[in-house]
Amino acid sequence: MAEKLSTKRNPPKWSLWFKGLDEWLLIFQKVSGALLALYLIGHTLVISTALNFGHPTPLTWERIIGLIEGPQVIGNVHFGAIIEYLVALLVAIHGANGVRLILMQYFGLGLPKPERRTYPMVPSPMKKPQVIYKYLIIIVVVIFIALASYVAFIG
Amino acid sequence: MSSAKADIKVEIKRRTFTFKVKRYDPKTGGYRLSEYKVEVTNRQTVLDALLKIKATQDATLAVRYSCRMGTCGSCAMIINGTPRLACETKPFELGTDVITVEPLSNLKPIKDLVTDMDDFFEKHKAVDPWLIRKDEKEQFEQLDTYYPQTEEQLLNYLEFSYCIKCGACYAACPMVFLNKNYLGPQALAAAYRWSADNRDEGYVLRLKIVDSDNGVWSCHYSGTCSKVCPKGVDPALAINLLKKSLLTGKPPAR
Repeated sequence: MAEKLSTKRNPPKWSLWFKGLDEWLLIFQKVSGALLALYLIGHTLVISTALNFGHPTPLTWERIIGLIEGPQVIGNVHFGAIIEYLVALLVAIHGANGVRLILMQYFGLGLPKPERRTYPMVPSPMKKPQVIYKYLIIIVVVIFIALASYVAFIG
Repeated sequence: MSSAKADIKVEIKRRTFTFKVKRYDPKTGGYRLSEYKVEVTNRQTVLDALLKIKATQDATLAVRYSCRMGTCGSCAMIINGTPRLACETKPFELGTDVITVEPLSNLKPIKDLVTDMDDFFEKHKAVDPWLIRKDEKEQFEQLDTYYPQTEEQLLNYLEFSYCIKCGACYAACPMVFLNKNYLGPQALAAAYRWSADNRDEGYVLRLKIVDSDNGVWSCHYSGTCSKVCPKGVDPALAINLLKKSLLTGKPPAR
């Protein structure tokens, strides 16, 4: 029997990508980006429908927005408000990490200068400035979540 | 024999490890797992263990290796879930009794642990990783010409020139998995290495090649390439510096 060489590549090691902070930030960035894109499409459709596609009437606005807001689920918080709260969390994660990436790639924020390497070698994503910026965005997101929770459920 | 030499005690520990080797079978086109028990010392590497298995237990096991000292980059494989050089990884330092060995991801398999590196080398070649001079006559015919370089200029690219093209970063990159036409961390690090060399005059040409969807813009910065590199080349830093160069329109520091 003739041997056939595979045209498919070897499968990846998924466990390798669930270990570090950088990999998780990438996963959050991609997933939140995709969800926000879907939300944007849905949001445009809902608002266009509520505005009666260019011929707004108070009646259609009240009906559509009332439908989307849904019933009250926690106290006097509507279902729609919870969705908005989740969208705000996605925006916080995507925005904070996106700003970090833009600053790093455009201005070189936290990027070390190439240098003569000595053992043990520390890769640039694990070096101090970059690690500080990564934890900084986590702190920003946590503060935002706290504030958003207060506004949505208490204030 | 001098007494000083006799005083040095080399402690040799021995332990039996179980090696689970994921093998590609070109006849069936599938993978199978072979298990071997082999005794190794604390001074032996995974490559030594695999060669011992090949010599004493299973002669059909295919492994690619050459220098056995972390210079040639032939023996990169996934050991306990991380791409590493088999010749630089000691079973005693892995901390597990069962050691899984798999062929590199994102590359086509040939047999057992041996992978086809053609795509990888083609991508490396695609970024023109050589010295480009405007005056080729001077470069290739006037052999008494020198291109001086200071220590500072050398340090701009030195760390990226340590790459041995083992493919560990390429196998670890999630974006190479998602986009198989992506040049990959190794090729982009090579592109930066030559672009940041003050003797080179072809960085505009090279930056045009990497400024594409399959070039630097496919990198979404997971940093895995830099974490697995056995030589500390840091391809993630090279890619970020390339992006900075492209976004600001300034040539790499050289």
